Amino acid sequence: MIVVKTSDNETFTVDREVVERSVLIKNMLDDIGENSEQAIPLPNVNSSVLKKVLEYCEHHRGEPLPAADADTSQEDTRKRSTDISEWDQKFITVDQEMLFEIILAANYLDIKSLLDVGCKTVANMIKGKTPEEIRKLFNIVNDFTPEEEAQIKKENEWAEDR
Amino acid sequence: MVPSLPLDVLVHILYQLPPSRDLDGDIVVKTIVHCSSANALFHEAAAIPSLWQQHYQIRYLHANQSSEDQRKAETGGNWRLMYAARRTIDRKALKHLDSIVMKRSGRYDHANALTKFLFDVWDALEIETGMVDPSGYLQILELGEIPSLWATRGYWASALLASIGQMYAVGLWSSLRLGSNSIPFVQAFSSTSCFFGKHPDEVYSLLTRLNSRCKDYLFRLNIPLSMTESNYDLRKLCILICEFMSTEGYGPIAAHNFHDVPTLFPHSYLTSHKRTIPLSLAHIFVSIAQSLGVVASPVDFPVRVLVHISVPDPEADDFFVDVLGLQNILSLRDDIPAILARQGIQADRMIHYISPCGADSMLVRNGRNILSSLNIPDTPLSLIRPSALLAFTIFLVLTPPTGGGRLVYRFMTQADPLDCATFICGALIPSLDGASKVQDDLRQECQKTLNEEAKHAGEIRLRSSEEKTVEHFVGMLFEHRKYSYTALVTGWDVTSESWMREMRVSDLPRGQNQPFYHVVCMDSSSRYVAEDNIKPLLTSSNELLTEMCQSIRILPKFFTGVLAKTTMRSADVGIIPVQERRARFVLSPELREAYPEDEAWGDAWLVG
Repeated sequence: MIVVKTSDNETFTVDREVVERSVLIKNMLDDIGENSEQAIPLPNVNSSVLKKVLEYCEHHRGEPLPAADADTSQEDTRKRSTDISEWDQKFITVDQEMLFEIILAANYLDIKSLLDVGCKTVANMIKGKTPEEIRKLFNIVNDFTPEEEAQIKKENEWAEDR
Repeated sequence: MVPSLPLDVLVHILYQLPPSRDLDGDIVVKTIVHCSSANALFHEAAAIPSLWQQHYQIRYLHANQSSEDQRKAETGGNWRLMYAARRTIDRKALKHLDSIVMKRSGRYDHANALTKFLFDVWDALEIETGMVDPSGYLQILELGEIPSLWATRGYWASALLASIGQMYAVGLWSSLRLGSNSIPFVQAFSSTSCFFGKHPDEVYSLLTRLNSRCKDYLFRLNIPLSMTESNYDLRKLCILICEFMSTEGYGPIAAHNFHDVPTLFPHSYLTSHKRTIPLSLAHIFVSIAQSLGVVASPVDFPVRVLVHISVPDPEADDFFVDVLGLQNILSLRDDIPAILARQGIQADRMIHYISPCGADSMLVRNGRNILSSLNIPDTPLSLIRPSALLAFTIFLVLTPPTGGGRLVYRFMTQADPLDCATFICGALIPSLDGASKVQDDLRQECQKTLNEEAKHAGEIRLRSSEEKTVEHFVGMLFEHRKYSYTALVTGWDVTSESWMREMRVSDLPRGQNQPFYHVVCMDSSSRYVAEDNIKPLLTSSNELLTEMCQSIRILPKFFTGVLAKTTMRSADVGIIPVQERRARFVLSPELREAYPEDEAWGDAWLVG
């Protein structure tokens, strides 16, 4: 059993097999050795998010991990789709703040399949949205100068409606 | 509070938007563009070239090689910029397509401008043809629904693809003029499919796949494929290629199907019509043999179709392959002279028939095959026009001009305004260097066709301002009173056209003094019918409507869909009502412009 400690100082005791879905933790364990009693600190993840992440890892226990050198940009485009399995779909039906937190945690902990599920969900959310709707969704502001704005408009001219 | 996501996560999100070659793919690409104008970080994420590579490679399968090379050089191979450059061209093309679909006047100027882009607009047009319903058929709707323009757009997009194909093929064949053998036989012969809207790559890849299957076949049999191997046996290799072809299903066509037109075109005989004529099989054989390093070429042999095989050993004789023959291999010294002698050809003239010949002779030979097949009654109308155009084009480009202009005349009877505005003016006439009489005749004829078209394009018919009542409307289904065939009204005149006066219309109750209708029949043929002979169809089953939509290829040019309405009607009070299902075809923009009052008339009839 492995002990991990979240940013809000909660500790979780988990099967090694489960927690090793995180490439980050797996690498750490490989480095520090099996028998360390020390809790692994996860300063970027809070307990409510880690609980969700561990629920995901528990459910997918035993499934093969993606090859370590799989590069996103080189991945076969046909394999990727916006389809998400039923369980994952249910799992990822959370409020938007939690969704983004899970994505950040998956990114930090290096759990590729979870990162994919999260990003696919966001991709489905933004599909067909206007720039303004996208800003609202991501809680971001238009930070372009008027010159940049004009430049981008020109750059994207080909995509305007006929 | 929603946390902000870093650049690498944004990139990952954009990667999860799957590329595709349809409406959905369009939405996805627009979404990425919208992201790029959301804020600076998103802009950076959306600018990653490899993100665009997948979208580019899914959407763009074709291009003019030289312009593609130029684009690559100008953008430094940046996929995003390449994508933007292609989309800019697509936009221009689709603007032309919009005009072509929406308005008859000026249509053919737009077609001329659009087809000049050649293969750079192929993908955009191809995507249009399959946007909503890949079958391209008109949809049957209930009254009140509004059909989309997709079928009509698809019709024009397909027609323009064929025009582009024709321009390419003519360009290719024109370099065969003056005896130049610069274009390999296999490629030149494959290009006949371009007249049917097939991209040259389509036939090329069918042949390539076949070539590699043959290689596997020979490999499994342990057959040496390199001349340097000691047990290399060219004759045996050729026999095995023939055997491979028959394992793949290729073979001689049954005699009674000999004039089946599809067996003459590569895209058909490589797929659905593998039982085909000897010339087609020779095309396939040469393609396979050449891919295995064999120097194989067709010969202009009388009656039979033979392939000449050049033997590398200077001591040994070349030989000939008869793909279909009981005896596949024919020897130069014994078999060939015997066959030629039976044809009455003397030894001193033999050399012409047994020397490797260029693609031109084989194309002309196929042109003759096509014409003789077209005389057979069962050929579908939709195949006749492109086939005849193809045959006459081959003759115009590859045979010396003969006097009288008869060929030009026969060619022009098959050419429609689109052909005139695109491949005839844009490719065929320029390719006929040195035949200025033919060029002049063609130019003149094209102008005539296009002027005639321009005249009709401006005509508007208002039933309300006619003195006579026009009973029926464009888009109505009817049965011919005398001949009982079912047809569809595509236009009307208040007086008959002059040539009709001789067609015994005076025998009709109202004689010449009645409206006449342009109609299209189930077999796609057009006719001209007097109002007295028209019996409106009060009930049209969905089967009939579906059959109509599927078998009349030209329908989407005139109509965008079918509206149906089921009502209970009785002719008189006290008579039990019967169920009727009336239907009318919805006018395409060009017909709506020409007959502005007919749709309202048709709607009234539907519910009336």
